Amino acid sequence: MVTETHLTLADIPKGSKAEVIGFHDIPLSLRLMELGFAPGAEIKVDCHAPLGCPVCISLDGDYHLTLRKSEAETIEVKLV
Amino acid sequence: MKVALLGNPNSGKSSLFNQLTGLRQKIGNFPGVTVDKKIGFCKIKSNVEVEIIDFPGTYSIYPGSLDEQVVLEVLANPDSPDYPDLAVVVVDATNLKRNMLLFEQVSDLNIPCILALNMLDSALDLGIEVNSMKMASLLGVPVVEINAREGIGLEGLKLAIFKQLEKREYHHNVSILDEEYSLLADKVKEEYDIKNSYLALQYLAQSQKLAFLGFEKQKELQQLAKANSFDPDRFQSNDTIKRYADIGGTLAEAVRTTGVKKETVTEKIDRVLLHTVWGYVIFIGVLFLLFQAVFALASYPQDWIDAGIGELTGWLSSLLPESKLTDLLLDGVIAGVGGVLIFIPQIAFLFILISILEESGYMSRVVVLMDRLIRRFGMSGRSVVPLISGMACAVPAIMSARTIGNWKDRLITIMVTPLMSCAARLPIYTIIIALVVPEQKVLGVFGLQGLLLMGLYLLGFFSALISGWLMKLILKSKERSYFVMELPTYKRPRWSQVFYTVYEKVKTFVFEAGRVILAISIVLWVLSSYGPGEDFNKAEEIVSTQFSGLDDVQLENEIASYKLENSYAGHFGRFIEPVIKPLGYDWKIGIALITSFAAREVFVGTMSTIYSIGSSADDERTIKARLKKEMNPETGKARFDIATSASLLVFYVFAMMCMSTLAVVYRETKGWKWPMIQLGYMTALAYLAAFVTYQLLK
Repeated sequence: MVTETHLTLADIPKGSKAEVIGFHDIPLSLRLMELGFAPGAEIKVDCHAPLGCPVCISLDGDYHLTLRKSEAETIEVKLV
Repeated sequence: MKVALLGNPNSGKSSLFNQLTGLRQKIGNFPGVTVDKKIGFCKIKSNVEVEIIDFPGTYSIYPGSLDEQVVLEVLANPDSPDYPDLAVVVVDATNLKRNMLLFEQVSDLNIPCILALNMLDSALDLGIEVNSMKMASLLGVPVVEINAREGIGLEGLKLAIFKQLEKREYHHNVSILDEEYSLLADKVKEEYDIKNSYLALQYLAQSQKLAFLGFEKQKELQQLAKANSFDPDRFQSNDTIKRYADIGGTLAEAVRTTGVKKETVTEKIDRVLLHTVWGYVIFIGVLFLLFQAVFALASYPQDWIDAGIGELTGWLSSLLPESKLTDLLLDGVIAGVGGVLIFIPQIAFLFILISILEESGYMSRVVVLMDRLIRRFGMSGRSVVPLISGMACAVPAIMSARTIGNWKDRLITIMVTPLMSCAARLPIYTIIIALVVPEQKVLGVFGLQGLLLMGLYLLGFFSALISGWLMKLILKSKERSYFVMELPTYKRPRWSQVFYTVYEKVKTFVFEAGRVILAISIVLWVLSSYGPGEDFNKAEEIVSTQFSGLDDVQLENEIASYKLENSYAGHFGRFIEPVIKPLGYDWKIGIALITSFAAREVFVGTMSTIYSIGSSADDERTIKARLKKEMNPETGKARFDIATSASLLVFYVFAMMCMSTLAVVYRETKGWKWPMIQLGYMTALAYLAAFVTYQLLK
């Protein structure tokens, strides 16, 4: 399913917030959901490691995650 | 009675385990898998004791790594010897939504649960107020407030365990059981004689991971799932989403969130520690301090142990009658035990510092900083810790590779870590470098000897990267794994936790690796203390007639060296001489190579024995002088010329000359396959590299 903008988490610049819309990688999405990444969740991009990968993000509260750029590319989001 | 401790990683589960059980814990294995099981005992009432099993931290009962699979395998099998009577699910109150997922799933497997609310203080700081009474009434099971770090609320938890074991209360929420699934669940329940619907669906969804079912049943279940077009991924997805909805409802009633989100302390620290430039500068600074500390701090207790073993040997040898048995005890057993003990300070200090880095949360940031750089070499960011520790000692380094979830990444890390030059190689490097490289400065500031030493470390480091890259191409892994992981918030290290980690690692080293080192030391002693035929048995007579003019000490040295030459080890040395000759070594170096297999630093000791320096083995100057004098009878030039010395240096950069490392790889990979492959590839690499070096420089 390709939306008009098909923005992924990998495109979100540092400091911006985005909302999860859907996933492109089903097995990975199951893991992400366990980590609290369900559709509708609001994500803030905290930083990119040098060379752009991995990406560090935070969810509600003081909850931080890191994931590789290739993983971020499978998460469809919209800017908030 | 068995109580399972379950919870997400970083939920404070291990702290709670230590608080409840103290030192009354032991490490075992879960049947059939390679995951450590921590068991402890706890008195929940003056006359009631329960067994507490600390399960690996997991986000759900759908495992993502082998560690997590244990949780599913035990909880889905009521016949398992580890199946709990009760589960305490520890949840982090700052992130209840995610933490409650596991609680819900475990409850639906019909296991009575207690919800232990941890980190309420941090939650309050974030403006999250949890009403535990309300939660208990909504969930229908006991909800206990604890502070695992400080050990607060333990009595309440113990009481709750006691009551819950007397009269079990359950929480049920099989909201995913709509009609489609319930019909199928009934079918499985009937066929496999189980009572729980959620368990039945787990049979269908994850039959491949339930080894206890047996191959036949696993196959049947897979066919059943296929015949009913049951999609495990969709089922899991439904399970998770519907549970989140239900949890959301509970939390809406029992949790009040106030205040707006401010930038937290963790975010402020991360801005510096994950900075493009400062992040790396700080990381290198931390590394530098770590090494300085390990070397500086460990050297004192190591000297004490060394001196203590020396004292003990001296005392025993004056006490015991002179006999073969005494020799075995002194040179075999005590020397072997000493070889184990001498490593303890380094292992302990390295682990104290590493566990402080881990406890504080900094180690996860190192993983972020290094992941991209190291990934192309078949490892992950998590491999950085073992590789760094490997420069002190490969034994604790390989043990620390456990934090790597992916088996392939972990295996490659274990396989290449011994290529990092460890502290034990330092005596060999320094002695040989001092032998052939003049003390001069390059560019006015850098010592030539120091530069060469650094070159050897770099050679080891780059060959570790290249080997990792090659293994990445060769090894195939079916296990799909993800990098995505939690970055825990920064915390003050819990000293008790640091203590337990170090205690456990040291204990493991002493009892697991120590046994093997001891055995090898005894075998080596036998081989170098006995020999076939007249030459060995009449060594005293032969040598004393040959060198009649020497004083007692010199004569004793000559006898010792003659005996070694004719011992089994000596014969073996000459037997392998043709093999090592192309590397520029003679049989004497050959013996040192063999004996140094117990540990590399034995090389220097053996060389000093062979070149008959006798008791003053630690005096470098004498060894150096002796080695310098040694001639090569074929060429008439010095034995340790540039070519032979360089070849030896290169050999020791690559060679797997360390019993302790092999023993620990055996333990970590639970078999002889990988240590043998490691021994093979590193020996081949050492041989080839030494061969090329010698032939080029000859």
